Amino acid sequence: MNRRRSRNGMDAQAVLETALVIPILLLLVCNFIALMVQVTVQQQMDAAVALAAESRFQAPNQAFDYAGARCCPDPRCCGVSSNGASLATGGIPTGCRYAAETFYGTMQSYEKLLRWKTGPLCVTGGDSAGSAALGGAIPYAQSPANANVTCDVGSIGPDGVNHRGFLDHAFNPPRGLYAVTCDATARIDFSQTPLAWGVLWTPTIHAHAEALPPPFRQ
Amino acid sequence: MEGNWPAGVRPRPQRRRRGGAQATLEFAFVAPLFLLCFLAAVDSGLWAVQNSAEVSAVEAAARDAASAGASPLSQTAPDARGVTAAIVGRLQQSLFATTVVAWCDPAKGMACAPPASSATTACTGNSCRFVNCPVTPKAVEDVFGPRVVAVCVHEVDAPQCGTAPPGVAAPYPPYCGDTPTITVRITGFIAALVPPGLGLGASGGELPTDVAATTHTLRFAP
Repeated sequence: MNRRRSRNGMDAQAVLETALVIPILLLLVCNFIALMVQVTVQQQMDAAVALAAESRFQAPNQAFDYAGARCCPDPRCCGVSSNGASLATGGIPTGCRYAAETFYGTMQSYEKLLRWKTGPLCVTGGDSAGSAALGGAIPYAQSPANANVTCDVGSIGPDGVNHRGFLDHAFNPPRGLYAVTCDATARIDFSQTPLAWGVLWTPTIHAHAEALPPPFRQ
Repeated sequence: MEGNWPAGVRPRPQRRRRGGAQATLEFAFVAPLFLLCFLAAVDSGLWAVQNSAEVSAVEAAARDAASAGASPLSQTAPDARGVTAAIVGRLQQSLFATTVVAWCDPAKGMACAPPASSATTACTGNSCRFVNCPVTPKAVEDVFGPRVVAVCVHEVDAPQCGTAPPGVAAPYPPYCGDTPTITVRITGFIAALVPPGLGLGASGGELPTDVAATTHTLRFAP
C-alpha cells in the first residue's frame, strides 16, 4: 500500500516537474526571440534616422515646401498613396520632408510591431550643451506635430530669417558646428504577435543620428 | 512465495516495466518540444545575425546608389548589378547557405533592366518584371528558386516642372523639381533551420526576409 502511494507520488512529481519546466523553457525561448527582434528593429531604426539626417542635404537651404505639400507615405514612392494620416509639410524646409520621406520609406518593415512616440517633424535651434529636450530646439511654426521622427534642420526662410540647426560642441570645440539631427522613439509591442503570452515587457527603443553638411555646403 | 524463485531468474516487477514505459512516453513528449525550443533559439539568433547584415548592407547600398552612377553627371542610379557587386562580399559572409543575386533578368546575355523612373515608357516583354522591385519574397523564389535573396534598386524621378494652368499654384505639377528617391530592397528567403510545414517559408529550411532603405539623391545638371 505504501509502495503504491510512493509510486503514485513519483508519477505526480514527474508530471509536476514537466508542467513546471515546459512553460519556463518556452518563456525563455520567447524572450530570447523577442530580444533578437528588438536588436533587429533597433538596427533598422538606426539606419533609418542616419539616412534621414543625411538626405536633408539633398534639398537647398532656402527651399521651403509649398502650401498643400504632404508626405509620408510618400506619394511618389513605396506604392503607397498619401492619405489623411500623412503629414502636411507646407511651410517647413523641404529638407525636413526629404528626411521624413527617407525615414518612413526605410522603416516600413516593422510597422505593426511599433508604437511610435510622435512629435514635431521639423525643429530648429538646440544646443548640445542644453539640458532641455532636443537641446532646447523649438518646432517650426507650421511643422506637423504627429511625426514618428523629429529632425533638427537649419534653413534660411523665405523672409530671409536664418533658422539655426543643432549646435553640437563635440565637433570643432569649443565653438561647435551646426549639424542636422534626427531622433525617433518607439515601443515594441509584442501583444499582437504569438510571443505575447511569454513576453511581458514592452521595450522602448530610441535612435539618434547626426549629419554634418558636406564640404561643398559649408 | 518470493522465496521459491532461484536467484537471478526472479521476474521483474510489473511496475518497473510500467515505469520504463512512462519514462519513454515522457521522453517522447518532451524531446520534440525541447528540440523545437532549441532550434527556435538557435534560429532566432541566426535570423538576427542575417537580418542585421542585411540592414547594414541595404543602408550602405542606398548610399552607394544615391551617390550617382559612373560619373558626377550621371543621371541615373547604378543598376542592381552594380549595387549588388558592391555589397555582396559583406552580405554573403553572413547569409549562410543563401545565395545573393541582383534583381535582373537571369537569362544569359540579358542586360539588367534600367532603374524605373516616372518618365519610363510602357515596358513589354519578360524583362519587365525586373523593372520594379519584387513585391513579396515569393516573387524572388518564383524566379531564382529557394534560399535566394535579391537586391533591387528602384529610382523614382520627380516630374519635370511646367507652366501651371491658370488658378493652379506653382510648382506644377506638384513635387516637380524634387530630387529623385532611390529605394534599395533586399528580399527573398534566407536559409534557416525551420522544419517544413510550419508555414514560415514557401518550403522548409527558409525564412522570408524583406529589408529596404529609401533615400533622396542629388543629380547635377550636365
